[in-house]
Amino acid sequence: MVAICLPGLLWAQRQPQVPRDRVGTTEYYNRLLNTNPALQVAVIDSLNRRSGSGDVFHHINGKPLNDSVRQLFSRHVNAVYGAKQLQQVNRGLQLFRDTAGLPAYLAGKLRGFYALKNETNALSLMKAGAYSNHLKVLSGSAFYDNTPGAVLQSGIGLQLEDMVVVGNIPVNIVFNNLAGNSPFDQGWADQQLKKFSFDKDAYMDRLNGYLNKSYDLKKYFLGDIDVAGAVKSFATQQVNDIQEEMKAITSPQQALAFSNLVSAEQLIYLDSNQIRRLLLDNKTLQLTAEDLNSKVPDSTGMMSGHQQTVLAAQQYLRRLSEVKNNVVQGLQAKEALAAQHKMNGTIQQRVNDPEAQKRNIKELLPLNFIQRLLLQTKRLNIGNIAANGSKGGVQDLFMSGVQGEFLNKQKFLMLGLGTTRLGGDLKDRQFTSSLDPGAYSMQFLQTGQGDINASHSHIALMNANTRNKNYGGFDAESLKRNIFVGAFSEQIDLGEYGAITADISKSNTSFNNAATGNTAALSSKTAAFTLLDDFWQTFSAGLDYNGEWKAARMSQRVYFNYSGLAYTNPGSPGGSRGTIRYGLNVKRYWNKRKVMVGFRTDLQDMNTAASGSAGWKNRQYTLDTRIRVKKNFSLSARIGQSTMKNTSHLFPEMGYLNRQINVASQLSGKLFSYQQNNNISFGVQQMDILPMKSLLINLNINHSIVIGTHVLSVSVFYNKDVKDQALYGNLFTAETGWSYQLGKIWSCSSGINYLDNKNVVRQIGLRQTVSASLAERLHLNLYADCRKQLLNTPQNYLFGNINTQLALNYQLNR
Amino acid sequence: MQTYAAAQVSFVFLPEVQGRTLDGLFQVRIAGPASERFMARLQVTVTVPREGKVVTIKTKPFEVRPGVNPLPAGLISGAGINFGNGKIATICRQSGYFTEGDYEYCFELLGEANHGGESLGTQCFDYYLQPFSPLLLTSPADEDDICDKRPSFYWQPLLPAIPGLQYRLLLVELKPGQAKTEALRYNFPVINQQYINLPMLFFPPSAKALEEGREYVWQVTAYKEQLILANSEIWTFKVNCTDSSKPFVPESFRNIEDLVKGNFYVARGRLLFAVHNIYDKADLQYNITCITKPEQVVKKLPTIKLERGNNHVIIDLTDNKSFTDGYYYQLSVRLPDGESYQLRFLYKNEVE
Repeated sequence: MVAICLPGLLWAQRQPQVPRDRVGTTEYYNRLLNTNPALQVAVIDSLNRRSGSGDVFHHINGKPLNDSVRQLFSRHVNAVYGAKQLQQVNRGLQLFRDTAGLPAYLAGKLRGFYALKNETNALSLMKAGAYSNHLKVLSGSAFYDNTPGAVLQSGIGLQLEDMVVVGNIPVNIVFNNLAGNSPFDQGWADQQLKKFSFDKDAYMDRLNGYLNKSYDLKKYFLGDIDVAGAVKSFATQQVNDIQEEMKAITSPQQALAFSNLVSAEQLIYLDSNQIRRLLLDNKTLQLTAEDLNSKVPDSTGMMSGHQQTVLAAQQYLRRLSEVKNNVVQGLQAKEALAAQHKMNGTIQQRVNDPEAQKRNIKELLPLNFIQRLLLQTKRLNIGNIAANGSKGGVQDLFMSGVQGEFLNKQKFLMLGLGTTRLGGDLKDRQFTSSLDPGAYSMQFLQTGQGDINASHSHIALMNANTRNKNYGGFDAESLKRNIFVGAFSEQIDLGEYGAITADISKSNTSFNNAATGNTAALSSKTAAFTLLDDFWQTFSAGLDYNGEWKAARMSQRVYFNYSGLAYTNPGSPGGSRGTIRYGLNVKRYWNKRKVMVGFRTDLQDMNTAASGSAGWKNRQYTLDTRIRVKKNFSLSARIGQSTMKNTSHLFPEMGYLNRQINVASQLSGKLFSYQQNNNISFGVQQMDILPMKSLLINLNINHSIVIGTHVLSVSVFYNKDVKDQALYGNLFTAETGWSYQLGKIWSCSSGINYLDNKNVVRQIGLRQTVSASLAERLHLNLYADCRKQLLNTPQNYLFGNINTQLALNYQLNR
Repeated sequence: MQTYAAAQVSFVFLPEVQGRTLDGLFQVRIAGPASERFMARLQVTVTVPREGKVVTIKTKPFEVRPGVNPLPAGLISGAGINFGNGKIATICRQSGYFTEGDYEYCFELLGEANHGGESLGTQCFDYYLQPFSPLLLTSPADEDDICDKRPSFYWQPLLPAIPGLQYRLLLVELKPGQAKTEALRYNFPVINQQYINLPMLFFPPSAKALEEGREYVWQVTAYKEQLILANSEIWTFKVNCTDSSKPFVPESFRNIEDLVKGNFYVARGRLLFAVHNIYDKADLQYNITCITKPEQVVKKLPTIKLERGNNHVIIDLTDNKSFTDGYYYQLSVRLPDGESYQLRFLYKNEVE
């Protein structure tokens, strides 16, 4: 008797027929493959055929794959995944033979093998492309600016951007060198910054490239299997086998009857009663319904001819029903696959989805531990880098150190450590110390459910210690202390209506060698252990709603923040203390976005006294409107007021008042057959900073005319302090420009400028810009503004008379 | 000897600046005796009425040299600190900041070695401290789109106004993909202007104008001499002026003869067609009538100039009130060569 040789078949009958795993997962496909003989037939047949051998698997006892394919499979696993994995596969094949079923692992590897494109091997591809170097940008710039108040008078900058690939891991490298010269510096000061960042996009592109070169993902998702065909060929084969069996136990005449009795199509489309009917209707066999149900004694010698026929017919039916079961499962597999592919969109979409890509890469490519870890890495930066987490934790930080973000199955982890400082950078050459501690070393982490930019619940911890160091003239020395911050942040996604974020944060500071009250012994505590000390003074909380309401063409933001008087978070330098801050920002569009009205208010109450209500009350309101009168004509207006008042009775109440009305127009169109653009803005501004009260009038006109390939532009700026209070207040500038092309490469503009700052400075000068593409990838930009001082006084700290810049940018092939 | 030392030592301290934070106290400078060097410890005591002691800090011994000298480097990190029990002391212990109050700051030099334990000089400063208001930026608003390529900058002053307080404004381009704090350090500033006395700055006339489509970050620092008092938040804005006049890119022009032969033409805001003019430059003779509402008169049609040769004609109807979405119209064109065409079309509003 020929057994059904695919072990999975027997096993399958005991398994649920439709996989219950989460659809779309690899387990789903593996299970599908494990439980459906027809699918196995299709996959293995296809593999066997690929080897060139004509063998059909289920004729070889216990060996679903023919020998040559098995060898190829082993070689593939060994070559791509290594010897250890091969052992596992061999163990799996052993199980295979023991009819205990295809382990899921094997099914996955087998699917990979099945999807393998000929002659390519992922590992050798990955080895070939493992190392490379690729210069991206090389740029240089230089400037000279003799504005009296400019921090840097001249500077030279160089930046190199490069991508290095090591072990198929792409790393972007930025080397930045800025050197500058300040009026108060002797010689040049130099600043070098470096940044190494793992390039996730390039990494995924790279691995996907390997994947698509070595595997046909359509096959991996069993997308090209002709299940119906496989079921039919499976059924045909099985029916033939059964007929062979019948020959052995029946007379030639009856065998002939059996052989013509049920075709493979009938087996597929008829149910068991209909098949029974076919048996009963056969004239040669002369069977009755009772015969098929009767129990025939199993003593061969004493049996009549009819009894033998009955026995054969019963065996025939039993065998048919087994095959029928498998056929039914095969058809279910077909439907399941079809439904699966429908549910996930086309297979192509599955192949393009980043999450699916990540999964396919993990399953099919031979990755080492680091490469696997990087699949779950969102970001990994080392060097002089920005670090950002949720509010209440680390925000807008710049540090020398390392920060990484990892996301795996909605579990998020961000880790970082580094040192920060308030001064000492080239841009801050003039500062030597600060009121706040000037430098910290810090460690932080943020972890929880969900990605940081989407819905999440995270906790964040930050530990910082002051650093006493001198950074190129900036003295960061401070009393030694340890600060610990614990925070929780939650973001709730409201779909198209935006998102709500809520955060609470608590800080605790512990000075070294400190004591409180009459305690004589000085101690240095770790701030983390006493985090709950002085709770309300060092607590901060915030709620922020940011959203859009598309149907109403509206966008809005509402926020509320509280921070205690002693809340201190060095991880978030922009944070406030002792304040209640709340505000609203609404924007709405009407009439096909032709009309926009925006309103924004920011209110802030800052408490400055440990007890009592002394403090600052700040109010800012802005109303913005824009009306597009015509396609080429729009008007806008802005009305704003901001005030800072003091709430203690000891000082004058009004500290600062600024009221501003601004109207502007933008017009473009043809006039005297020339294309022209015109922007005008006019503003009236009241600014009181006690005891000074100014009333400023601003007028700004820009006009440009396109004349052939040239543009003529004229702009005038005028500002006057009607009350003559501000030194700054009477400024008039007029500028003209003419742009033109020199040859094919050079595009230039030249202009004449005039400036008059009443009684302080008067200048007339020239401005020239040149930009050129010297070569396909080499661009040059030159800017020069030189003026003759008609009048200059010591009060002038704003207006220099030479400002030049030169920039060269070499962009390499990306 | 002792009295000699005591009389010779004095302290240079600016409470309106240095009296604001614990670390600020150590910006004090010691004016030592003219010729003698000696070892001493510095003890700083800050008290406030009602609450009493806020904090006492005592440094390790250091050498006091002749002349006015800052404290030696590394001294304060090893200092011992003793905080008071009151509310002000609690806030100070947690934040390093002194809250509003009428403080007395006392500096005392305590002798070491052969002056062991003696007071070598003491000086106290009284100051009613009013903590600074926050340093807030005003305009251009955070994340705003602006049209002006030479914008003016406004912020709110740091109050109370102390003598010598000035601002520094930093404006830097934010490159695509760059973090704000990285932009401030990796890129050369467009503006890095110090000595600003008022909370505003006009765009420096000699500086290169900002560029359309680019994003910028800016930050203001309040300082006195070389000391950073406060930093504002870092705000961004983008120069984006083309929003209100989006350029129209025509897809294709079909010859009017073909259009007339074809089915209904759908005009999405404008009519597009090509005509060939064998004569000299002339205005295109055309008119449009409404089929759906024949009584409606179509007015204010733009003048179209025909060049010699092939012409791509765009008749812009978007801002013309005579055209209603979904109505049918008929265009009649008479070319200089005498040929005339009638084109029926359906008007549809332009899709944004």
